[in-house]
Amino acid sequence: MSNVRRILAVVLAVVLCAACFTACGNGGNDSTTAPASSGAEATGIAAATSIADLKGMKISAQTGTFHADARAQIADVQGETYPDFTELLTAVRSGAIDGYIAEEPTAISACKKYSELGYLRLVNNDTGFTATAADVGIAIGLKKGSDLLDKMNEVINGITEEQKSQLMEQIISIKNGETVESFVLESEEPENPTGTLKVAMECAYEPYNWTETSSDEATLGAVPISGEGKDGQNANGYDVQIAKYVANKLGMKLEIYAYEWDSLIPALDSGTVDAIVAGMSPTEERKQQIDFTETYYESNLVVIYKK
Amino acid sequence: MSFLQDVLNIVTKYYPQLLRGVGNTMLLALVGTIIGLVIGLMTGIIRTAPMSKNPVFRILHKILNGIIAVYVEIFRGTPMMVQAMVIYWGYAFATGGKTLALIPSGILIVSINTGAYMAEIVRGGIISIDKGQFEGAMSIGMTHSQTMFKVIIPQVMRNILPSVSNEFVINIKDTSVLNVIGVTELYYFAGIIKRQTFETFQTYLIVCILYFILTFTVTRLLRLIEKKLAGKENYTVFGSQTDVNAEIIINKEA
Repeated sequence: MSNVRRILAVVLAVVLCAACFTACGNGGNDSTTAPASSGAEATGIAAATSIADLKGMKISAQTGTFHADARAQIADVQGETYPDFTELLTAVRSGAIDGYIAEEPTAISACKKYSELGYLRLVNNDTGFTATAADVGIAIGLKKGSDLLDKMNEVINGITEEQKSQLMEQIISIKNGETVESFVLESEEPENPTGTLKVAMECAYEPYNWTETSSDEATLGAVPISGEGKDGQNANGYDVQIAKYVANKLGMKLEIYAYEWDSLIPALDSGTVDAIVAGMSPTEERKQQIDFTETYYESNLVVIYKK
Repeated sequence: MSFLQDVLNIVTKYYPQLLRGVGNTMLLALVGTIIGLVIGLMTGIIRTAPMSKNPVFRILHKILNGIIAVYVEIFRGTPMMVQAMVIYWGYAFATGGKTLALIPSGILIVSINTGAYMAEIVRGGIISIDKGQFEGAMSIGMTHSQTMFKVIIPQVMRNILPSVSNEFVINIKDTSVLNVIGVTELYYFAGIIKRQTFETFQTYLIVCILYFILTFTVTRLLRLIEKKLAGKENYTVFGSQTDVNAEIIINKEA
């Protein structure tokens, strides 16, 4: 008996060590190639016109997003993915990475805020990333078989392309401290709501959704975040306005819940919330888990970099 | 200088959030440590109790010991962050969408996690008490529970206090992982402030200082209690009740 245990312990130790060494080995290979290529081309990122020009650079993206998949299309890409959107901005401003993949509204918002940042549009599939329409569009996520799907599609199909782009412009203006009188997407809150629409989002992904801590400075159309200990916090952004519009049109009361990106789908699956409105793209992998409505915004992939 | 200005701006603008974060962090750590200690004491007493002669009690005791062993190994051997995710979302899936209240579930997670560590700390404390203490108590006819509560536990408490304060300090810091389920403790608010100001380094520097103030104060306070429990530096033992000159003064070694 004790011999079996001893052998088991040794085998486990060997497996663990082997796992550690293989992991280190991969890391080592990456870092040996990094300085040779990225150092020389780091200044050339602004001149890049296609995905091929980004070869070997330190390009990052948010973990678990399709941006991270697009990042993998860059040949010999260096750097890592980060779990939080803010970290990417900090990393690129500090010079830790050459750039990161984002969507155009994010880039417009960030570049307005920080003059040292610029962005590259990598739209065309000839020069840029291979991205399907499902990748660059964002849609509302619903639980499989939800009866809200058809009703929401009807509402979303009623929004024109022009309204979408105008609303995004207004949202970016608001985030930059400019005053907007009223949104292009207007809707009345129902007097006798037929139910509650619980919506999950990160509240940390500008300009789609963000958090405001002080209710005195709440921006136009901000919605209080529901949940224990969240009093005084408001959410606003493109997703919030879309969620509000959809809820109003369905005659439901809107409640917004803030969850981490990786907790959004569990929250929907478990029935904690009714919908995800979080700038989420209807990718194939996600479609296997949840249903998506029609897209409510389409954007281009860009690479944000430091000038 | 603009850096210091940034730091100052964050403090003046977001102090209500920071203070709320500090409050919740301390609540989680304090209540979690106390409940954890109670769990530790209970499991420690059960695990060191002598086996009963009655076969039914004997089997029950063995089953209980087994459960405690599994509990200690599982909760000591998995990260608190993972436990938080498993418990919070596991409950949501099991109940079809109901979620646990955040602060109580945070306290629950910290408590059972600390309890697993405390179980080992208390067991170590009980083992470290000289066997003569048990024998002495038994010889004057004390039962096991009397021996434990009147003789052993008071000594154990004094001995394990440094480990308990260590656990408390660890809890103050480790409650930060509860932000994954959205518990509004200090680290959670740091995330919110960071996302609003985009000043990652400045925000975390403030939070870092706040955590240090918390842990340092707690360490000093518990050190004071330790000194109090250790008794006076110098004390007098009377050699004789009739002869005052026979008194013996004991100077404790530092």
